[in-house]
Amino acid sequence: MSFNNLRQKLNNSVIQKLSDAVVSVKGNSFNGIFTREYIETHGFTGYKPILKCLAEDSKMICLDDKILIDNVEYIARERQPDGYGWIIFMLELNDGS
Amino acid sequence: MDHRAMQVIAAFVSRITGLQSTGNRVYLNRTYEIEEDTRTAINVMLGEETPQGEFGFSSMDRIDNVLEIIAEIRVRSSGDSIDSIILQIRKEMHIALMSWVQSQTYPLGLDFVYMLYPAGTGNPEIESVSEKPTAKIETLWKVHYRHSILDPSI
Repeated sequence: MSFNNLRQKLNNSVIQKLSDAVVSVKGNSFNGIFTREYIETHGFTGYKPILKCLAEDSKMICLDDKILIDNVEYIARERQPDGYGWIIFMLELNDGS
Repeated sequence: MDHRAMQVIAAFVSRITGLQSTGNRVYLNRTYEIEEDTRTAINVMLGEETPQGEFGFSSMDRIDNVLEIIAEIRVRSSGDSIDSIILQIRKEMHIALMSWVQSQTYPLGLDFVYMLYPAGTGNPEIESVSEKPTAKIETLWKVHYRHSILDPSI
């Protein structure tokens, strides 16, 4: 098995076993790993929403696209490919404010 | 009776509490974090104080001081609306603090204060590491006031 095939198998296994969010964007749905870590900026408490998903699943997502994760809408503000088949999206809450 | 600088800063906080944009979210030396659903706030801090002129003596029994007050505006909103919110807060704060000019009363309603004016604003610091971008900007105010050479509370 080539290294690429092995990596793909590993990534698929990770998303299958560890995904904790259903992501909907532009009429497509796929599984992702969503974290919302506590953070403080300029004296405000808050959270840092990050979506990690397979590059293959998320290739239709462009910057500033709206993404629905577990019925909460976010905007994709940064796209960080890790070079190993994963894309990390830095998200902004889209609550109209 | 408090030090007159304390009376000044308390009156300053009181004057900018209740603005349309920030409501009662005006803090004095807020070092703790502000709740996540808060969108706007003002944190007021004591700045430098220097005697006016070489010694600050207006007579043998009085000292004239220039007290700096820093009002730090904090905003959490989408990036494209942060500037307009900051400027709206600055506008409301300015009108509230400078009304003494038109009404020809003592600044901040204190009879030992004889001048209050805006003395500059810094650059907004904007970060987007949270769910919504956040910004803070310092606005500087100068207050000229007088106190006794023997006791700064009178």
